[in-house]
Amino acid sequence: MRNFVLFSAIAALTAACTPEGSEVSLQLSIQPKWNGQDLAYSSMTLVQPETGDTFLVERADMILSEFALIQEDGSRLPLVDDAGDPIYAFFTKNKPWTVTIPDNIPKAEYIGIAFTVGLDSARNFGDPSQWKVGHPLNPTVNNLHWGWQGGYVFMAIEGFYQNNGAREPWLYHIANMENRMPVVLNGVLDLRGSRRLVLNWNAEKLFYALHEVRPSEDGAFSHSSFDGGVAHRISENVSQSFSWVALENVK
Amino acid sequence: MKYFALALIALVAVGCGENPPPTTPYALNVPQGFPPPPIPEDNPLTVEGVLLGRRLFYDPILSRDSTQSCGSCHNTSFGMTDHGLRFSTGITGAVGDRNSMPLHNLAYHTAFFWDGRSPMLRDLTLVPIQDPREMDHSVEAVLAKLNASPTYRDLFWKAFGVKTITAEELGLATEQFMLSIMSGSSKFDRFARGLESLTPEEQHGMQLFNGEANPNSPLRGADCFHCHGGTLFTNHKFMNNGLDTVITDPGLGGVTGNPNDLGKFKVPSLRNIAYTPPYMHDGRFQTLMEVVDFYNSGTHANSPNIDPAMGDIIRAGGLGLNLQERLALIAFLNALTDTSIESDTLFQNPFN
Repeated sequence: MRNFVLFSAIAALTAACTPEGSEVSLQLSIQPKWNGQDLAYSSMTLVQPETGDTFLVERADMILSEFALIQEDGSRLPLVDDAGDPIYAFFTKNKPWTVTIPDNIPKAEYIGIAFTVGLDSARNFGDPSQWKVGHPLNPTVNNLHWGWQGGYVFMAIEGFYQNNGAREPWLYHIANMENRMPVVLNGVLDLRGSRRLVLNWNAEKLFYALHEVRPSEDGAFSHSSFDGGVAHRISENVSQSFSWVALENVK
Repeated sequence: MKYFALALIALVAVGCGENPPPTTPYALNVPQGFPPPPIPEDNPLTVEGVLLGRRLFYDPILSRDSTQSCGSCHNTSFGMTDHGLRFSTGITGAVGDRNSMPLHNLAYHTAFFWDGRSPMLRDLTLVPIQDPREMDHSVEAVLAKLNASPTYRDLFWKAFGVKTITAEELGLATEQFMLSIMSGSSKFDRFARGLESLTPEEQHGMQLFNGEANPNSPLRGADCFHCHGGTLFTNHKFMNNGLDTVITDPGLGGVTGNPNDLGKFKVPSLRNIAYTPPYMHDGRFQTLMEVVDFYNSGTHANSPNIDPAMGDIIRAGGLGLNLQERLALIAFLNALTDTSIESDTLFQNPFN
């Protein structure tokens, strides 16, 4: 009887330490931008401020994975869905660039968020037919799977640019494990309630961040091999292309 | 005895009720390695629905003079296209202006027709019924015929539980049949599953198909896979591949009204391509060699809205494949032929 009372007391105390509502949700909203303005597709009006090159963006597709919150000790808390599975996202034009993490995040103050444009090796080379209808990694959703050879294109960006007055095509398909694009954004991430974190994806930085990339000089096409390294340079620029905008309360 | 009589009355009352008989789920044969097909939630496949859809697909009752069915222009012996014809001829003798499209693996598509005018597969049937160059009929008249048929009234009742057939059920039934046409049993598929070998020529062709047309690469490539890659051998996009310098058929642009879409057409799947000559939206190429020759040296750099994916090829002046390479590429394309689409009785005309 004494043991039963003791166990009951411990159980009650444990429950008190993890009260209902101790976990929160997070909505990640990413805004495609070009030089601070909303990214306008199919318009030859996009000027890269550092290089002066003029671009038209026709396609900007990407797969994101490895979402994690950075805790105060620097460790990462992987974000998972309702089923406890890793979260993936596929972004393309004319669709909302949002990721919703359900209310399974421990209430706390975090110091940043991290994710990867691309996939780990297991997911990249895994059987693509395993993903259910509508899943971001389902090849019919993202059209970024290379097919029989295996592996995904992590980011596909295409368009045209002005080259001495002529309209020339450019196309960069960023793939292969060495071109995974880790993104880390530091900021006060007070998740003591459910929040929406707004980020910008600054597309102009693909062409000028860690590296200057000019299609006329560096090559206008790459499928991530035999390209003089332009895909890798762009991948490193992509890692610098996201920025923190605001953390908003969610009712 | 009194209870027996009451039970009998109750039974009769139930029999006179409006409850349709239960339907039987249709077990879709999804080829190994294919992604799960997104079947519309509001139209789950049933045996009754698929078989009704097949009957409608092959029934000339859908045309004004009851001489043409959907199957008239989508024949299984030609990969669900129109007998090798460039354009199809309707019941009045009028000729269309686009090549009949194959109808397989449609569950994965999100836009239909060469110009993407229909976002729903269920609408696919209603368009040719009303097109004066095709069946030259009206949906209302077709529905009147169907509702006058005891057979169809019974079949629609069993499949959809409706007493009066409407355009909605007509579309849903034919949608179910077309969703059921899966094709993934080609020699290439058997090779990919480790069940069969490709010939050295087909292997060479596959390498070219999946290789980049990159002058800096030591490997030769035909760059096919960028637009015709993946399990379904299409990227499902609308693109201009540089056929013309002057756009005469607006394609997607005629639907969206967006000048940036002029000259863009649906990228077709290359599965069963050997079955489906002639090629391109207007059937301008009679053979696969003509198609390969086009990409080899015939693309137009100044075609309006040409896709950036064509840029590498065009800048190089075409693929530059020699004859042996072109033949190898065609050998691989022929290995994408799934003869089951021709032989599977589930896809055949039930009136034969």
